[in-house]
Amino acid sequence: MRLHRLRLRNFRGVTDRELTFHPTGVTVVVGDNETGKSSLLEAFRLLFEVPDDSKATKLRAVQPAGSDVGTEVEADVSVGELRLHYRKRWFKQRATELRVEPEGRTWTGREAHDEARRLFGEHVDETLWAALAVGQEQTLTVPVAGTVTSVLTALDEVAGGESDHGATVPLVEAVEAEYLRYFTPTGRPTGAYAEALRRRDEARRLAQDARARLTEVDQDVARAERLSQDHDRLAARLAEQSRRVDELERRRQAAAELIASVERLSQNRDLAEERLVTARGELERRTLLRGEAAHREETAAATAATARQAEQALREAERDLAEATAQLRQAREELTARHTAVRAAEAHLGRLRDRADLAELEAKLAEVRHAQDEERRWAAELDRLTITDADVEEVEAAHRRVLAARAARDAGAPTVVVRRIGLGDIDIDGRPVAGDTELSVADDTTVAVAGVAEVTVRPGAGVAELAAACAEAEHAERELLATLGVENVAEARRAARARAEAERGLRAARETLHRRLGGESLEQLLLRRDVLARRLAEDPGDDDGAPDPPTGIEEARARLARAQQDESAAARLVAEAEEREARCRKQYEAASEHATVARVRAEQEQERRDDAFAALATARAEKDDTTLEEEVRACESRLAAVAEELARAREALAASGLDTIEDQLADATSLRDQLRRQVEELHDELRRVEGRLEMAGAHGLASAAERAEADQAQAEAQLENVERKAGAARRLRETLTRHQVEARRRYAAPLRERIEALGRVLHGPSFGVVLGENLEVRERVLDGVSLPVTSLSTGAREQLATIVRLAIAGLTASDGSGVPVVLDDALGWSDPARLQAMGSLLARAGSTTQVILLTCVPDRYASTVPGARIVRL
Amino acid sequence: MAITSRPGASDTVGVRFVHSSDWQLGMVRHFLGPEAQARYGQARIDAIERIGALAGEVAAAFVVVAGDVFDANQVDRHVVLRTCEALRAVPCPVLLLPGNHDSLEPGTVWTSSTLTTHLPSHVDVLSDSEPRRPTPGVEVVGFPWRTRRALTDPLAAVADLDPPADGLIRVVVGHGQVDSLAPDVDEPALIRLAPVERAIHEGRLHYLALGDRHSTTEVGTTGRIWYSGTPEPTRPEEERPGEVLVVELAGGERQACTVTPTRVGTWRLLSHVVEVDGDDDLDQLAGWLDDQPDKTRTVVRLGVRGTLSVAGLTRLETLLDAYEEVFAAVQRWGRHWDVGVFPDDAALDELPVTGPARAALEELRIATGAGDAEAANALALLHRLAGGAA
Repeated sequence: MRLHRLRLRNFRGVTDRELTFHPTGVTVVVGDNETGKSSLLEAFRLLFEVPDDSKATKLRAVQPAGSDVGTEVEADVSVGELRLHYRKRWFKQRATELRVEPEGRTWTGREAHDEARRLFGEHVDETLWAALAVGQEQTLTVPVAGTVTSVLTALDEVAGGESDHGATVPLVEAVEAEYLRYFTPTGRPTGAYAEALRRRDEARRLAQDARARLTEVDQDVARAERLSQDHDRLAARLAEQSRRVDELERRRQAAAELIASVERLSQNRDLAEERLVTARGELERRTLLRGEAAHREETAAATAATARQAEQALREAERDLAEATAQLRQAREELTARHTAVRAAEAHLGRLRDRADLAELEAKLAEVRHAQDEERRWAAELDRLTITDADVEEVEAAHRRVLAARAARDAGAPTVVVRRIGLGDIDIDGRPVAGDTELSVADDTTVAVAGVAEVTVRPGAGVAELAAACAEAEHAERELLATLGVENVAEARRAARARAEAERGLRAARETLHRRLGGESLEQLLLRRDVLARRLAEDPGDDDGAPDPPTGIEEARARLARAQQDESAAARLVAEAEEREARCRKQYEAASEHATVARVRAEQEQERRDDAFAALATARAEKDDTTLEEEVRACESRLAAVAEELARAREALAASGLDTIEDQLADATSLRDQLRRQVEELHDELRRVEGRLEMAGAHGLASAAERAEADQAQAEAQLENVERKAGAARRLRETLTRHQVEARRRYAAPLRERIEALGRVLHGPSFGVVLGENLEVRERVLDGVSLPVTSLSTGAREQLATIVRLAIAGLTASDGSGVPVVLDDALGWSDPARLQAMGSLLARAGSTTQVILLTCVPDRYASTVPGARIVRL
Repeated sequence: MAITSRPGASDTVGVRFVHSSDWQLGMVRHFLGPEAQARYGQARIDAIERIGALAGEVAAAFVVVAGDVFDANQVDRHVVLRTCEALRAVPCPVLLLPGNHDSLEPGTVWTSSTLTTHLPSHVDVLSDSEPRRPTPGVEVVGFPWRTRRALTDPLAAVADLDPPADGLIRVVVGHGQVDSLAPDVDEPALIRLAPVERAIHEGRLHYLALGDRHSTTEVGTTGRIWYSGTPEPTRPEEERPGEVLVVELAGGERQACTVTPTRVGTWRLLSHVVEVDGDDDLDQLAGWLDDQPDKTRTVVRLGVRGTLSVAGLTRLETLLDAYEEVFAAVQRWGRHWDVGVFPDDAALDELPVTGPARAALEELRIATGAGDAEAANALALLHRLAGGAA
């Protein structure tokens, strides 16, 4: 399609405007804002869409506000080989006129509208028109090539396929809609299909349940039949068994008589046995009685003899004991006498010892007293001698200090040597000097040579001090000596030595005293002496008891030892006598006891013997021995007879086989009872199952099962029906989708190449695009970096949208079905360099396609699109 | 119908009675929808009333039903109650024999309190082989099934029957397959025909009323052994269903036997197989279906074989959809259902479909040509969605 001319009257703000366009190349329509650029596209669209009598809102929106005039649009358009002159006026003096050249036919009114629409629809691909003629608000939208029928057709041709039609897209949608009637987008059954499946499953489940219940019934029926058969069989066996029990019972009755006679004979035998036992017992007891009497007699005699012997022994023991007692008494008296003798000897020896001790003690006391006197004397001496070694040391020290002071004074003082040279008297401090002399001057010393000279030597001040010190030391010495009461040091030393001597004497005296005392105090010694003296005074007698008392201690001691020996011997005799006495006493006691026991036993045995004889006599009085023996013999013969009879009867019974009958009867009875129980159980069980079946019958389970199965069959059939349709939809969709995807894959290459060729002019050789399934541009690649279209800058997106449009236009222009590329205020975001490149692309597009650019910025295109024709509004 | 004398006119003259069997009350048919099912069930019960009416018309002395009165022992209570109610309308004695479906097994319907308390007094259940005298001069001996799976000839005792008392007409009622008609001779419960025919020849038995076979069938050569068939059809395979037999046994010297099948059924179960090869055949099929009377009581088991255009296939589907609503049921007979689509149908070429859609269409065509049924359906769908004319 080509747009040649467009005229607007009373359209929005436009009163009357006519524009003409080049059939090829670029036409730039320049107009300020609000001058109606955008109205051009809208007017063209309304011209073909809206009949002149329409009251559509979008139509009313273009009527000039406030003016009651008709809105008119007129266009010259060529489609295919035809050229249309089409005019339409709304609101006032409505009119539609269409003239078609070269045919020269004319339509008016509604017919004109319809014919124009038909021609437009026939020659113009609406989807392409929508993709290429874009309003201001769509310039950023990158068109999706896959939705443009013409693009697909063109690509199909490029790909070597046959011409595509607009039918594909609606068909795909219809198939998808059909598919979605039965499946969710993820392929799960839905809608009627899911419902049919659900109903089928439900019916299947219900049928299964019903069948299961019916199966239970069938099992119960089979069970009841089996139970019934078992019951009948067992009942028959029970009857048979009962008959058998009766038969056995009868046979047992017949044997009962035999049993009774055996029992009777058995009792008889038992009775005879009992009697025999009694008779034998009586005889045995008699024999025992006789034996007892003889035995008792014997025992009584023996015990009497024993008692007599014991009596004899007792008397002998008594004698021995008396003898031993006398001997003991004698020995004890002897011992007492010896003991007294020892006491006397001991007392005598004691006294002799006391006397010796007293004498010794007196001597000791005398020594002690002497030692005490010595001690006292040395002590008094010591009191008198007061100068101690310490005092001596002090005096010596003082003396040493004097000597030292003198030495110091003499050393410090000038020495005056007086040597006689003449005769004259020489005095020194008034004392004459004979020969030569030398002296040290401590004080003023005057050497006078009589009549000649007097030389006073006066020592210096230091010498005077030394002299003073010396004097002081001498004074101290003197003071000390005076205090001590001695003349000089030597005297003091003597005094000290005397004191030391006194100390040694005192020490020796004390030691002597101590030794004399021997560890005791004087008081103790005195006390002992007093005790001894008193004792001797109290017991003065020496001549007591013993004749010829010895006077020496040793003698006394020897006597004592002898007396003690005698005493020991006597004591030994006493012990021996005691031992013998004890032995005899023990023997006597034992004999006494034995005699008593023997006597008692003899008495007892005698009594028993008397009893035994009495009992025997009594028994014999009742029944004599011979009678008893005869009775035993009689019982024995009777028992033998009965036992023989019983054995015969038992043999008969055993021969009758009664014991097996009993066993058989017991077994048969127990079997019968068991059968009876089983029959009853089966009967009960049968009743139970029949009861259940009756319930099942009442509930109509078979009908229910049949109904459920019928429902299932219906549901299956319905499902099959739906499944057939669903399967067809799925198969069609699957096949179609597969081919579509395959086609898209084939289409993508030429479209991409064309877009990339255009894009490289703008962005350089690294430009590329990635196309999606619907041939939409998904990513832009530049310098190896892929970016999703949505991430592109506004400018880049607009450029990309324009490039894709131009690519589409290029693809569709070749077969004459192309439409003008109309861009309204596009490329507003592009930088000058890109704008320049876009300009050359637009110019290149203009060589095959009619390009109409609407803009309010004339410079945008005027200088960038070579050969553009500028039209001003 | 040649009736020589009226029954009841003379005790020794003869008797006329109605022989039916296999009522199968409570039966459910899978091919019927719920609504049709209800009507079908009711029709089987209504048949009792029609039999009663017929008995009245022909002045029958009694009615015998030779087994399978009920479809199962555990039938719905309402079926039993409606049956008792319907039996009330029969104007003569009715003798019902338990068959294999309603055998005297434990839990049998015949001893259920529902039945025993509601069964009309003129109805007798042949629950043993004691002779019944529904009318003077006639003795009816039944051989009921005691278990649902018999292991012996249910009529074995017939061989040992003594001759009936002088002048007495003896009718035996039995149920089961006879050996002459059985496909499986190893079946243990077959009725051996020879002893029965011998008994008939020896005059110990005058008519054997059989049940089990739903098609009305005469057995053997005596003319006195018959299956009455079911009064309402149960399967399309049945031959002459929907009939009962009016049996007339003459007394006296001639001892003649006349059996007259009489229709009482109202339903029809049909099998129909057609070959289709174009619109003409579809027209014919539509015509056949249109011509069927009593469509609401007619079940068609339909087999279609042949190849159609996609438009034809769509038309067939539409046709069947419409008739399924009118008939009691139109059942697709899987065994005889084989409808293909012409893959080279010109209508497909004309479809406004190009590019990938065209490629998809071609693929489906090839698959259809190879007999892929789903592909054929998909092709038909494509045809419809692409706006092809039906």
